[in-house]
Amino acid sequence: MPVISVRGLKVKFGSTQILRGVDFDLEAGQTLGVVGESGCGKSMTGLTLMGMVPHPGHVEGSIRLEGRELLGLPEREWRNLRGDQIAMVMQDPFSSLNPVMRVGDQIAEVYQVHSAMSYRQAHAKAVEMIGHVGIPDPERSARKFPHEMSGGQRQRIVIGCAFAGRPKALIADEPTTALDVTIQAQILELLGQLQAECKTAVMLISHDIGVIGEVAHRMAVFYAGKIVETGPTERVLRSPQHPYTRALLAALPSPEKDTLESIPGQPPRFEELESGCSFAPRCPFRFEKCQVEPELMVAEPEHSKACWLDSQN
Amino acid sequence: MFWFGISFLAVVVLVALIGPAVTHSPFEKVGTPFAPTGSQFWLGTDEQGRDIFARLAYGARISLGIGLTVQALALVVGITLGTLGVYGPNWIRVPILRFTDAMFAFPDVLLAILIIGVWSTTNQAQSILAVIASLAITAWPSVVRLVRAQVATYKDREFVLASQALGASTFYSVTRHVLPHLGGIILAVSMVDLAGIILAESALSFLGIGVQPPIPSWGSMINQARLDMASHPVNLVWPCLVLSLTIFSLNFLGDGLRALSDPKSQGRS
Repeated sequence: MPVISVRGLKVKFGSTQILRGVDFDLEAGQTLGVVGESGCGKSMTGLTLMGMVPHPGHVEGSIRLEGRELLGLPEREWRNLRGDQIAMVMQDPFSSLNPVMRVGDQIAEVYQVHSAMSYRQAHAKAVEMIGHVGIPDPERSARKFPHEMSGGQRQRIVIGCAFAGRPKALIADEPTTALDVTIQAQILELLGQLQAECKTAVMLISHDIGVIGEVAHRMAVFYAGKIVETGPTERVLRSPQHPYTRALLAALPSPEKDTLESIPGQPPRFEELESGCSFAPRCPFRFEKCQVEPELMVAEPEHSKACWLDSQN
Repeated sequence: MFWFGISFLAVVVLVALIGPAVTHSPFEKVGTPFAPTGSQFWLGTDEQGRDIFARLAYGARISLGIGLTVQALALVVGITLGTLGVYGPNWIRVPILRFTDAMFAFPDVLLAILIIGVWSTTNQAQSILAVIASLAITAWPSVVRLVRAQVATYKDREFVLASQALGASTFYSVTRHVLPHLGGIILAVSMVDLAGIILAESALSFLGIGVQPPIPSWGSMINQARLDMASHPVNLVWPCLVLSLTIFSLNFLGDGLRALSDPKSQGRS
């Protein structure tokens, strides 16, 4: 059974649909890579899994954590899940730590919130965690404020906070985007190491396909609030089926290319979505059938796409 | 000027704490009326022969005591309502903000006079309570505005969301992650507010509706010395000087603290 199973997830703000029916599973110990342009609903999916959709948002569909339906749970129950069963690593380590609180206390907070631990016990566990995420001299580092640490160290602290509760599922929203390339690899390695220890199911949101290709077991490509292609990472990257995925891959820089490919046009604004395939206006292969919106269909075993091209139907 | 403010206030507080104990009684006639400045009466005596220094020292207790109590009450009410004004559900948030706006429409001192007028006091202790209540009722709205604006800027900061994503309740994340950030600005603004409250208390006492005699207050001392201004102007100078310097000092202190709490100014004041 998957740790998290999402079916028909829709998020609406008034009449504007941000997510338009998303299905995916997160498996224990595995990583699902999520790619897509800015504003395609990646981060909103993460927030929805945390039960933290901002105020006027309305959520439909189903999110199951080990078979238990989460949508419709009262806020109190969500609060017990957050940080304990489902945790989140945010993008920017410079703003996701409280600047006036010692980092040790920020990790200790997770233990204090979820188990009735004394401050002393929680602090001891926090120091242990700081050592565990690879920061030297944990005793002394625990007394540091965030501004006394480098970006990479801060992100290690943020990851320490997220794994303090040994969560079953982790949402990592662009965890390496704000960091130097050299630090990125270390942070991804740390994530992978803790993930293996806790058997955590990870959803890794990134717009860096290189990062996804390196660490994700499966990947999902988002476009305009829907998944347009999903499958094992290797297969999706080797034989992309959806024209959008192909365009994304073609847009990657490489030493052999003199110019960078771009995808003409803009992603549609959610309030202006027309019927039919949402990528059709930018798609070089569009034909009559694209006026009907395609659902995900199997292209090869385990590999699905939402596109009428080369399809049997 | 910051250091002048701190030093002068330190002297005032020290005199308020130990002054009345080491000099004469501030309530009784201890010498001849209008005795000059000297070794027995450091600042002379007033029209009833009471020691002016002792009365100023005791008045400092009253003024600072009332000021601090009122500001403390205003902070408790203001921080609570200001935070609710951001995090509260609509049915409580909107009335709080509208009511606060409405309070700004009243002139402060007039409202205080009205409250004292309605609350007919019978003894001196009650007169102090009435002054505290009337000033506190006029002091909290500005704190609500400040706190609401500040809390609103922190509400959507990523570390506040992050703490909620780790399972913290709203109450927990507000008290641990939002309110501690307001400490500096609240302290700085409190000093300036405190100056205003002390001035307002003196105004009420000057008008004779504040602290009731024989309890000395800077305002009532000014009022009494005013009657003999032509013959003994020095008696009017002392309470005026102490009151003005205290208010200057609090303002300097407030400015200095504001500069310190704002990293962009690099501690210049």
